[in-house]
Amino acid sequence: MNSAPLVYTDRVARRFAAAALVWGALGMAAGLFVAVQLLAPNAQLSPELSFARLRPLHIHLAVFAFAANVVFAGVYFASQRLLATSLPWPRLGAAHFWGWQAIVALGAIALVLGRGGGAGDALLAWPIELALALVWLSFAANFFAMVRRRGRARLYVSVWFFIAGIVGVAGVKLAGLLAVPVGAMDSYPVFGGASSAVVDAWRERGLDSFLLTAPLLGLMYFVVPQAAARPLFSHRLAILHFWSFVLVAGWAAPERLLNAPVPDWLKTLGIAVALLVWIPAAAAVASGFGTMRGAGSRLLGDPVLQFWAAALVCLGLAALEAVLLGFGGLSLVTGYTDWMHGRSHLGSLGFTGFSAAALLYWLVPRACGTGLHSPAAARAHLYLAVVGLTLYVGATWLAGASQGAMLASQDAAGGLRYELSETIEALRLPYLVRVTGGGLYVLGFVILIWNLARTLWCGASGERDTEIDPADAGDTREAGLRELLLSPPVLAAAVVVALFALAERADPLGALASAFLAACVVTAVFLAAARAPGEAGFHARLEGHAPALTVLVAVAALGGGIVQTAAVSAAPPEPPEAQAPYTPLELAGRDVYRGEGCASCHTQNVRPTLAEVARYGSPTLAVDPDERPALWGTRRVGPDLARVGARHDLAALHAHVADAQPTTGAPMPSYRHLEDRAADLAALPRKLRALAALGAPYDRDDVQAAEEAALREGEEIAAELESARGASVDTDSEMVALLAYLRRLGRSQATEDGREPLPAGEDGKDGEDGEGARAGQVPGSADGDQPPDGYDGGDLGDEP
Amino acid sequence: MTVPDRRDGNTTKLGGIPVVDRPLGAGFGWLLGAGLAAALVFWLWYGIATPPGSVERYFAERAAALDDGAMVSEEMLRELAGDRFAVQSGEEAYERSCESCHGPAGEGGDVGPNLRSTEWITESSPVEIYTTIVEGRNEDGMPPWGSLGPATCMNITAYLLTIREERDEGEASR
Repeated sequence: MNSAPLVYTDRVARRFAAAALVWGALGMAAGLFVAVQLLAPNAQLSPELSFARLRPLHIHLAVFAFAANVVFAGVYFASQRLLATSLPWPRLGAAHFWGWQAIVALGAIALVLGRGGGAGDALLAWPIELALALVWLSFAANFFAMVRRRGRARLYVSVWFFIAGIVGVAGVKLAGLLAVPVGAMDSYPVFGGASSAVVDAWRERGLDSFLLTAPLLGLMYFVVPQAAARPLFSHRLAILHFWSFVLVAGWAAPERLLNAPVPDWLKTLGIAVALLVWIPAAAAVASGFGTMRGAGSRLLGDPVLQFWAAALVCLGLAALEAVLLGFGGLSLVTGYTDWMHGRSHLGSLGFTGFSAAALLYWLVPRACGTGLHSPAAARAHLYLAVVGLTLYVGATWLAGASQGAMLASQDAAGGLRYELSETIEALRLPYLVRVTGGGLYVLGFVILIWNLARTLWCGASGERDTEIDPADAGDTREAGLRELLLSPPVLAAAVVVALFALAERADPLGALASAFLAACVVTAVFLAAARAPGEAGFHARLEGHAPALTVLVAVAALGGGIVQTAAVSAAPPEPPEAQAPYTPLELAGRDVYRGEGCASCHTQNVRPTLAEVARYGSPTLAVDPDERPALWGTRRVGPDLARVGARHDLAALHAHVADAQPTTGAPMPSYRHLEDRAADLAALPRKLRALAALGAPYDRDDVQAAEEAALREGEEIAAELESARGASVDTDSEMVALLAYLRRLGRSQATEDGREPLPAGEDGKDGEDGEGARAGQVPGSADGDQPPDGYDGGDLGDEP
Repeated sequence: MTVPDRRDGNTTKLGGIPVVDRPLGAGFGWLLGAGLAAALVFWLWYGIATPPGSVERYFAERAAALDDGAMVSEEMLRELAGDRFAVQSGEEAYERSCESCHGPAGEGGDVGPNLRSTEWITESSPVEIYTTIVEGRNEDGMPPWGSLGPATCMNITAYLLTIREERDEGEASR
């Protein structure tokens, strides 16, 4: 136990807050820039600043640079006070600070240079991810040392949320590290096909929950009672909030896979959990507003409380929306459209952004020992941010819903009513509104930066001693582990789990059902066991036993993802026909596709609906387990590419990649510069070897001959381009590799032994037939000799 | 910190922050229980087989669309094969879109298979032929042609029915 007085070390928190301001400005500027690029696709100053690369960069900066730095500032500041202890290792904290900023900067550079992982959560190259995980552990070390040396017996609800955040993000980041490196910057994930999609969805959902939400909820529980000068509304509600939040966060990843070719049981599980999302959200809203209730005039004048109220409204709305989409049918319409951007930004700009602003307005003056420079400016920020967010989310929802409905619209005979290009035309107004809304939001953020920078500069920075109320410290005796483990709630939960596991052990579906049911039962039991905070009930004892609490949180937060991934990996959906492995050049092209971030705008998944099948061809039933990672994508700015190789010949593919916009009006920037970049063919033997080790059917000869084979195939493609388009393209350029990959999509038939690459002679066929008529489905697609009727795009076949 | 009224229960300080014990109330409990139960019931009984977006649901939708006449039926395609104008229009469409792979008279080419005498064409039902035209055969490199519109695809089907060698009963000759 510590003896008063304590010294709180707020230097680290101040630094993180300052870094958040700088990175936040950059991240939002990147977001604004990509939103403008949707209106003017060629508004890129250089190929490095293309939409496809900047969108992952925007996510990276917003999540890891802005939100994470805010979270660090808040957790370092709040934990010392909540745990009544000083920062154990300030130097480690400083190392954490500089290490994190270095990682963020390196990651940003890597993404701009096209070395992204192609995943939706802006996964970085493996060395950077490894460094990130280590730095995160240094944060965890400082935090858990504070927990260990705490001057108060029981952990307050904020600390539970911090634990969930730290454990959850560690799990998410470790899952991202499960990859086989094939060089300094490249790697292939251990999980392929459907499993990789489950892991990706779980990582994305985990980052959302454990980095962007959990710590900020914890900070809400810390700041709101103090700002409102009111006691926390209800301890039991906080218990319910916490455990339901952790369980839903851990289990709800399949909610993001309703559109993907994963097993039906996984989709159903996603829907079921999505139907529960309202529980933690309702508890959070009730807790927050219940605590604010009665704060009266404070609520009207204090930007901290106002921002937090706005954040809670966004949280509640986002949960209602998740439930609505959870019913499934709607997500088939809104999936892959702008709606999903409205959804993610309601969470990120809405909940995370507003609560981050509230926290910063509260924390920075206190960490500096001064007052906020201008409360009036903070209120102006609030109004700008609320109006901006409303415009942004409203416009994106409207854009997504109308585009989704147009794309799904069929006439009585099953014909499609709208071309993709027509739907994109209809998006211009919503996109303008979105840029305006985003601009207002950013303007508000600029005001925050100015306001807090003035506060930071003016404030004294000396550390002050803080007295701690000895009566407040309480008994620091931790409950015995045995006492906890043998308590009725844990025993009851264990019995339930064991019974279900025994009853259903042969059936993965049943096992999952029981695990989920058990999770619900455990929550209910915890809730029932919650007593008054002053009494020594089970949960009160748990609050006094940090290791037990941490283990339970880890099980609840990570168990769902592990069980789901294991179940899908054990019985992955089988593709209808065996796939031939990628040829070396196709593989190189796939890595170009990944690195360039093509998945930012293109999906590779034809969903099983009548309209979609009429548009893109037979539905994607499953992908090959050797797809590492699955490049399904999350968004269609352009068309689905799952069958693109079957629809267009090389010349048309080249025309589109090189010059989509001027010739066809597609909102896609030119990628002609890929012709000037040499593909990394020398790395192919390493890549093939790594994939073979993971189970892809390459043998030793394939590995040794990889580079030659790639050059040979490149020569064929270059020759064909020369004859069909008069274009002279280097045989080892990234363009040729990418085209090799694209023409393969949708044509991946296996030969007899399932191992031979496609015979070269097949390439010519698309050039000779009249597949141009198909091009009407795809804006900007251009093909052979026949311009399709009613297609407004240019016909590249006529190009000299 | 004062506790306003008795309903707020006891106030304790945790982590230096005053905390009220407040029972959640029966209404909240019922709401919570109902929510959990709804999700579980949904999961265990209703949705396991065919959640929205499942392939089975798609096949069912497609079958229903066929039944409704929103798509096509065997009878209507057979009937169409007897309609001179439909067959002629189908032939024209064939020349535009299919000939380059399957040859001028359906005898097959370098790329596309024979559409007169191979087992596939003679054994397939009209709807199967129609569906293949609309959806393509991804595994064999045949693109989907649904974008031509259902009427054109039906006419092409009608044309193909007239040129295949072993005709089904009740089918008009060309």
